[in-house]
Amino acid sequence: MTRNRPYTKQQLDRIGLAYIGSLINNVRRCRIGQHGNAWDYPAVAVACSSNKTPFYMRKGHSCESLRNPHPTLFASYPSTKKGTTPKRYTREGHCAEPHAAHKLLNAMTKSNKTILVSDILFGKAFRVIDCSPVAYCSTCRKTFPQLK
Amino acid sequence: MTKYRSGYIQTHCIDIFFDYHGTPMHILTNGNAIPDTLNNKELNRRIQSEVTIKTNWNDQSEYGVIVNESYVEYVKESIVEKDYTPSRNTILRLFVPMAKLGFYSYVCINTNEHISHYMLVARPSEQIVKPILRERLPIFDAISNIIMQDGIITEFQT
Repeated sequence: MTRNRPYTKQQLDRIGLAYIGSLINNVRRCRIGQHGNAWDYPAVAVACSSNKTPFYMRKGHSCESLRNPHPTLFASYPSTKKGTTPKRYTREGHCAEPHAAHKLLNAMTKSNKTILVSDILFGKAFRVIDCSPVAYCSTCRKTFPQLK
Repeated sequence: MTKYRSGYIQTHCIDIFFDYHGTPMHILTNGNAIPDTLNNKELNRRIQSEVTIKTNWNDQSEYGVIVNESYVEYVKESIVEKDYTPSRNTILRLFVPMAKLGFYSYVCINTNEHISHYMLVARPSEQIVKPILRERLPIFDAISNIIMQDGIITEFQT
């Protein structure tokens, strides 16, 4: 999705909440054998967009670690920067934020645009089961300095 | 028997179904640990599939269901930014359908390294009890620190 002006945080929040509805429907369709392999609800979902043209927006949800994170994202991981491994429950790539950022960075790369992780605007992260906002985890705040 | 991987458990809310001393229970893990006895992906997915087929997801009414108002309050109070307080329907949408099928539905609200704390969200009322799949539910009785109100388990730990 491309547009001529950047998304606002409120717009990203609304997109994130709408995304949760589609995630829940995907799980139901999967369980009755209609579609896909999304058997369980992801814990958290978030939407993000680029602050620079072409103002792409992407959505992401928590899932198992990214196998091949975008190089820009990988370079900003705390363990890449400091040589330490985060605690098990906040391991890099588990959260919704890096998944959304990974998709966005890939889309930008395909458009021959380069952005930094600090150029990514995130909406609120929402818990999928009840749509309540959740705080960004410590690993995400280290990976994306704008979340501090 | 295939088990859920730990990375998957930590990043997903998994519906788990079991029988506790004759009571059909449903728990949503909310990214927390699954007791080892219940960590059976194939069996759980078979039950999830049957439950989903039998559920009327369009019926949002609470007829035949008793909601634990403490949980609704708990969610609303835990939200710092009140602009984003979810509606009652949104909070209950994954639990009320389970109660309509006869399950006592719980969610994990707190956890540490080894212990998960569950709270009752919704349960079937006496007049509508449609226990489905009871004979196929795995039996699990390793719950502790049970808090009961009027003979109903409102909180427990695994």
